[in-house]
Amino acid sequence: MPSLIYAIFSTVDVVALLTLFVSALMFTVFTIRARRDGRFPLRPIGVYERMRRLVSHAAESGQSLHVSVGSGRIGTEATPQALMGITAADYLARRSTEYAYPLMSTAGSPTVFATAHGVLQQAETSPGETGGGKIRFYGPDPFAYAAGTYDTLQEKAPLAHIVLGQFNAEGLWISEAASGQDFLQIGGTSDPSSAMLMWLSLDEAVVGEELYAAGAYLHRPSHLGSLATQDYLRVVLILSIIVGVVMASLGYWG
Amino acid sequence: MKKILPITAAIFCGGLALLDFFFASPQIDAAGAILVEGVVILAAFALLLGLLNILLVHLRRMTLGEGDRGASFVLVLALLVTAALGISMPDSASIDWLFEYIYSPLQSTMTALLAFFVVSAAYRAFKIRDVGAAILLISSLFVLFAQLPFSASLSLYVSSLRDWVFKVPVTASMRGFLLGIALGTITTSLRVLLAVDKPYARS
Amino acid sequence: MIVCPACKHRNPEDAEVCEACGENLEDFLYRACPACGALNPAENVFCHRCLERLKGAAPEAAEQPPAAEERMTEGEETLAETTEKEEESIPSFLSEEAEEAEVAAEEEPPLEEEPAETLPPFIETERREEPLTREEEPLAEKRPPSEEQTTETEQAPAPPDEQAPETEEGEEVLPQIATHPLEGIEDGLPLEVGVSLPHRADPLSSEEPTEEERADAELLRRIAEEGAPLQEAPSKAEGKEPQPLSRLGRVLLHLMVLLAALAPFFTGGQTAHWVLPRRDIGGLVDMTSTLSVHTPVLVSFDYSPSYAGELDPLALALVRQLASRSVPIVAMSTKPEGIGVAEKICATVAGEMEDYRYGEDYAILGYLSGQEAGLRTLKKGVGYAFKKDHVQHRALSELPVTSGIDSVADMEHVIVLSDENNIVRRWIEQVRRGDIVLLHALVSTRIEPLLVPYEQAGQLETLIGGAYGAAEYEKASGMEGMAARTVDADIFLFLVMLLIAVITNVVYVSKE
Repeated sequence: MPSLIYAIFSTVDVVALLTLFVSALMFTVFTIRARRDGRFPLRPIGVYERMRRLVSHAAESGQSLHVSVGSGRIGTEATPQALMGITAADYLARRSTEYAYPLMSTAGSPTVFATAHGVLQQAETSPGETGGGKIRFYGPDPFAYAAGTYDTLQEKAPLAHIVLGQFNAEGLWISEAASGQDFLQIGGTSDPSSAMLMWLSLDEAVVGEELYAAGAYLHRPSHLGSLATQDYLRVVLILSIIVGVVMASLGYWG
Repeated sequence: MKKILPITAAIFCGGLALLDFFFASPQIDAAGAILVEGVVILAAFALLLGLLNILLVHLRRMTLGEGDRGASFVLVLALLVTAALGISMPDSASIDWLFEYIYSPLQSTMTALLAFFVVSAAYRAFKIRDVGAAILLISSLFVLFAQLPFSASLSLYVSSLRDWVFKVPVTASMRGFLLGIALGTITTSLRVLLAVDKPYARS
Repeated sequence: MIVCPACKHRNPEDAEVCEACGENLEDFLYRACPACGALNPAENVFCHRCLERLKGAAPEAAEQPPAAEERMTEGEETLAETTEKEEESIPSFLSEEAEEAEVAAEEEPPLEEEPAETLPPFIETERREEPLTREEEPLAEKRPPSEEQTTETEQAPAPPDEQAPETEEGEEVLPQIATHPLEGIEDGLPLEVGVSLPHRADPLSSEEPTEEERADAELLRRIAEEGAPLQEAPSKAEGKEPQPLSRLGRVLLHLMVLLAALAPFFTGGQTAHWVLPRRDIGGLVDMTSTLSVHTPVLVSFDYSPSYAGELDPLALALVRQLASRSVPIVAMSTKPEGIGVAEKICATVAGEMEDYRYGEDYAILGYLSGQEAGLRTLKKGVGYAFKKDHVQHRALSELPVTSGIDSVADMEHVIVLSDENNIVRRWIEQVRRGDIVLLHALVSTRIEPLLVPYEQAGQLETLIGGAYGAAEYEKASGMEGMAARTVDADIFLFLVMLLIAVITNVVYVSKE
């Protein structure tokens, strides 16, 4: 038996397993605390603030909103980013059913399309509510997605274009091509090479890990626990780097 | 039951995938392989759903006269012809011809447009509004200059400085970026794994 | 004409019940003007819009202003009754006000039997709030109507600050404003009615609000709350920032980029001889020249045709050099469209070299699905991931170039050509783990900076980016091709960027 355990654990990436364990522990604690204590204090993030106000604006004016949920494939390492696009679409779709403003959405990968489709459809079929969103898919190719989204934006002329989720170069393509139009563009992605250029093109942008705060800021207090975990893990990481640098400089490790 | 079943399935599959990642065992590997195949099959079905969406949207545009009917017609025709050729003659020269003379040039053209977009986006960043913007502009122009073939012949320090810019400030910021993304990825994944966030069973 | 409060049907003046729905018209609220059709409150004598005498209204009412005034000044006293009448019609979101009004009404003295106040409910709602801030005792009890009327008429034009004197106790006493500003002006009743009762919106229904109305009220409340920022973020109206670049400016910028891109057609790649290969590139070229002709190299074409312009020259330079050294190549892709790229590149080189044959010198395994999981399967064994090759559909053991390969480790070197940093990361995390192979990444310029940390950590042996890297590779391997010819475009693009920086700042400074 001990030999079997040794055989199993000798192949395990212990550091990764430990990181996962500590993260899961912190996540559980902070999620329970978030549910018990209510809201955590949050610093304002422009994009999410604007998105909430845009909902009010769209409800008043009756103009449509467009959300591009990105081309991240669910089932790959891009899943968390893609889910943030879905979260934004979910938020806007639910508000759309309540406040009856039109919502259009475009997706650039089949899996994110299917998920977003389900989310929008569920919002649409909620009892006693009308409206909801519509979603279009323009093929699994990023630039086909960019071109299709641009076409839809021109056709629908929305109040604002929310471009949030996993984007590569097509993110810049969409945001810059549509920047000459008359609607507001907000959003962002976490991929650095795209995020920097999208930041230049969008009227307001999230950069990097701010993307992962979408749920907590928009409509899901249950995400506050994970946001707190993210922050405390960052502290642990900074301390680890400092300790690592000191120890390496003293010649103990590496 | 309608909620519990998908949540249980998601937690079970997520846990199994994690076990497969961390532990090497023939049984776990086999179970992991089944999951992977399942994901591939599901993704293929999602693609079918997407294709159906494309067809419905553009057939609707054609019949109701919304938007550009001509473009919708070309799209539907191209989709049907490619699908028919791909299914009936997957290894034929026609498919290669479509790939080489239609798909590739169109793709390259779309990407080439990025060069124009990058320049017009850079226009906004190039204003020297403050010290930060000035540093950004100077370093961008320096890296561009250092990339030129004759820059190294002017001084060896140019290429050394370029390497330093890439390897120290740029890499430092990228590391910060990547670590932040990794943290976001971990917590978002935990949220799904522990069923705090249920994109598959929103209610 | 009497307007039925239930169905809005206009009935004759003498009607007691509605002709349309049979509703009792005793307590009707509105009368329609026979001349212009405007709705007027029941007590109005003249139409507020056209001053036409309203049929049925007692003419003496117009000549007895004190009576009318009395009713108006006692408007507060009729509050309790009004509140009772309206209680049922108050929407839920106003229920707090309704309760307050009820409390206020209880403090009022008993009332005489008066006809119901017939002002529209929304006006009454405002008036109900008055007693809450006033002193307890109604003014009507303190003074006779005539005295009160005089006082109020004098006080009415006083400025607002004088209208709110404070008592000794510091409690605010609201000014004794007449219920009606023109009250007491004799012989002016028609005019008074015309001026003081402007056209009003349709009154709230006296019926119980419907579900829809309740939902609207709830929605209004929620919208008002939704607008609240999370903290104290400045709230500003939504709107697009003015574009920093006009349409003409954009066209000019794009024209300059186009000219830079076309430059090599005119200059003919004059600057290629200036190219000096970096150390990384020299290292890769040296490595490929020392490879054994019996050990294949795995080349993964993980880029789409979108990046063909940037990565094809690099891929061609690499495959040409490996082919010239007779190093066997095993090609594959983790992108569906990448397999077409692999076929194209290999076919180009095979077309250039007569003795470069499929199956003997190179093979294309095909598209590996499953992203990370697919690569993990590949690591377990090439045979697990690919049963047959992509071109001839033969078992891998049947092809000379792949016959001796069981695992990725058998190939020693893996070269990934990619336009996505995540793909390179996948290779590092899934295949390179355990240091079983040496990994080289040839990538698009956009993602090169993202992979530098991996190169510095030793997880990538080589990292080469973009079209310029291809020119360096060609130079280092001594086989100048298409990459060397396009170097001129880099110079012109640099000049364009320099020009843009200058123009931007000139425009910016001149505007500031």
